[in-house]
Amino acid sequence: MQLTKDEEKMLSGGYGEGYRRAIEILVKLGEFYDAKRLVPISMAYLIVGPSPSKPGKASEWLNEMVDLGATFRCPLALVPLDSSSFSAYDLHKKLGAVFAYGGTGHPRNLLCLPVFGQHIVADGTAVTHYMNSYIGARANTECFVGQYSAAIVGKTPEYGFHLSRNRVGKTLFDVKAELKDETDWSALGYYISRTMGKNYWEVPVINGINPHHITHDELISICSSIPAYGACVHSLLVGVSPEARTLEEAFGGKKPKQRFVVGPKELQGVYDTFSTSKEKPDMVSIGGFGVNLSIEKVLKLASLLEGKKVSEDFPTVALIDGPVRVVADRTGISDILRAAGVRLSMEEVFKERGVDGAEFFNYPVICAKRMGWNTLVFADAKSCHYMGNQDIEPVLKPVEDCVKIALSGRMEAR
Amino acid sequence: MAKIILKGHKGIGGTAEGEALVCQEPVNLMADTGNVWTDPRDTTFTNQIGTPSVYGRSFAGKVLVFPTGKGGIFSTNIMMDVAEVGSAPKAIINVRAHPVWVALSIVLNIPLVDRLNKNPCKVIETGDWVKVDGRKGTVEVTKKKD
Repeated sequence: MQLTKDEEKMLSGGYGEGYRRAIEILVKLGEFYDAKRLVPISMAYLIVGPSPSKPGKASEWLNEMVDLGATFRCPLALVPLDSSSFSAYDLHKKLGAVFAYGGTGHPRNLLCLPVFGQHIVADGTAVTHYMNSYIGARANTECFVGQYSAAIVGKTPEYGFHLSRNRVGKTLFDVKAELKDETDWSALGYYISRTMGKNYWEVPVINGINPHHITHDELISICSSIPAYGACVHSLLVGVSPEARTLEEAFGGKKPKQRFVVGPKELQGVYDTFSTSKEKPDMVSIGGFGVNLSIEKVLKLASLLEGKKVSEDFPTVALIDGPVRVVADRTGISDILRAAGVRLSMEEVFKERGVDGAEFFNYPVICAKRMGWNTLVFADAKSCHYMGNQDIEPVLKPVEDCVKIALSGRMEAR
Repeated sequence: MAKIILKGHKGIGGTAEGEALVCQEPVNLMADTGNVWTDPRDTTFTNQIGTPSVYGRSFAGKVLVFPTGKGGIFSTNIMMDVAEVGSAPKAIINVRAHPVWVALSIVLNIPLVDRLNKNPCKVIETGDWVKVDGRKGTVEVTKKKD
C-alpha cells in the first residue's frame, strides 16, 4: 500500500500509540484487500453495539484508544442519540463525537448526510446500503473496529465499494409485481437477498418500477431487508439510484450475469415463508427491530386505531423513535396510540414485565427467547428473517392486517 | 499420510494449527451462535436454518472453515469476549473473507486466509488436521483417518 509521509509518521507512532494502533488496523485491512491507498472520509456514522459480557472487550478497546490519546480526525463523527450510546457519552465526547439521531440499524431519521461520491463510514448494513445505493456515497460494511479506526485516522482503505469498478450491477431483478406498501418493498428486498445467496460483493439491479410511484420510506424499507440474508450493502434501483439513471448505466455497459423475474408469485412466496397456523400471536410489532416507523405509517396507525382498543392478551408495539417520535408526541398521535393500548418502544413492554430492557437493545433473538415468545407478527421482512433463525415463528403482514390482529386478538385467516 | 497444500492471498496473523470444523454456510455470529449472549464460553452453533452443517457443534479451539461472513457487524464484539474466555477459533479459513471477519482477525491476531487455489469448504472436512500460515497465505491439510 502507498502511504503518504504523514501516514507513515502515524504508523511509526509519531502521533502517539492510539493513532498508531488505528492506522495499523486500516493498513492491514487495506493490504488484505489489495487497496492501493487510504482515502479521506467526509463523515462517519458510528456504532459500537452490544457485547455478550458487561462491559465487554469492545468498550475496553475503545476506552484504551481514548487513554492512548486518540480523537476523531474525521470531520464529522456521529454517534446515535439513544440510551445505549449515552452510557458511553463521556467517552465519545472525549473522542470528539457529535451526537445525533439516526443510525442504530436503520436509515430513517438520519440527521446528517454525505453527498454523492464521498467516502464514508456508515453504521450497520441497512444504513450502509442506503448510503451506497441512494446517496451514491461510498462505504463498506465495517464492525466497530473498522469504523472507529477510520474515524480516528480520518481515512479508510480504498477497497470494495470505495472503488468504481465494484459498484456496477452484476445481477438483474425485473420486477413484474405491484408493490402496494412498505411491507411489499421489504418482501421484495428479502426475495432479492435470498435469491442472490449470501455474497457481500454482489450488486443486484432492480428494474421495472416506475420511479414516480415510489416513496422515500419504501426505499428505507428495502434498504433494511436486502442485507438481511446475505449482507448485501449496495444495490441499484434503475431510475432512482444516482449511479443507475438507466439500465445500461447500472451495468456499466456490460451484460447482467444473471436475470430473475419477481412477479406476484415470488412476492407471495416471502409472505408464505413467514406465516403461521397458530390462532394467537405472542406479540404484534409494527416497525421491527432496527426498522422503525415513518411519519406516514404513524399517521396511518393513528387513523386505524383512534378510539379503539387492542387486545390485552399480548403486547402490540409501534416502534417510533427519533424525530418521528418528537412529531408524534407534539401532535398528540402518541396519545391516540397509547389510549388504544399500543406501546411505543420495546423498553415499555419490558418494563411492564419487570425486565430491564436496556440489555435487550437490538437483540431480537434474545428478546424473544428470554420473554418466552414464539409467534411474532411483524410488518417487515428483516425482523421476520432474524427471528425465524432460531425456533421462533415470525409472521409477515401488512400494517392493516397487523392492526386487525391486534384489535381482534386473533390471527386472521389468510 | 499425504498432505494437501492450498495456496491463497496473503492473510492475517501468524501460524496456527488444529482440528477443522467445516461449515458449508456463511456465518453471522449475531444470529448463528445464540448461546454466546448468555455465556461467551458456549460457542455452539444454534441456528438450524442458517448453519445446519455445524448445528450443535462448537468452534472453540478449532480451525473454523466457512465460505464467508454474512454481515453481523457485532460479530467482532462477540468474538472479542469469546477470545477473552479462551473460546476463539485457532484460525479462520474462508473462500472469500467478509470485511468484519478480517477486522476481528486483525484485532484478535487470529490467523485468517482466503482466496485459496481450491475451495477449502470442499477440500477440508471436519476433523482434518489443518495448519494455517497467515503471513504466507497457505493451508496444509492432513486428512483424518477413516
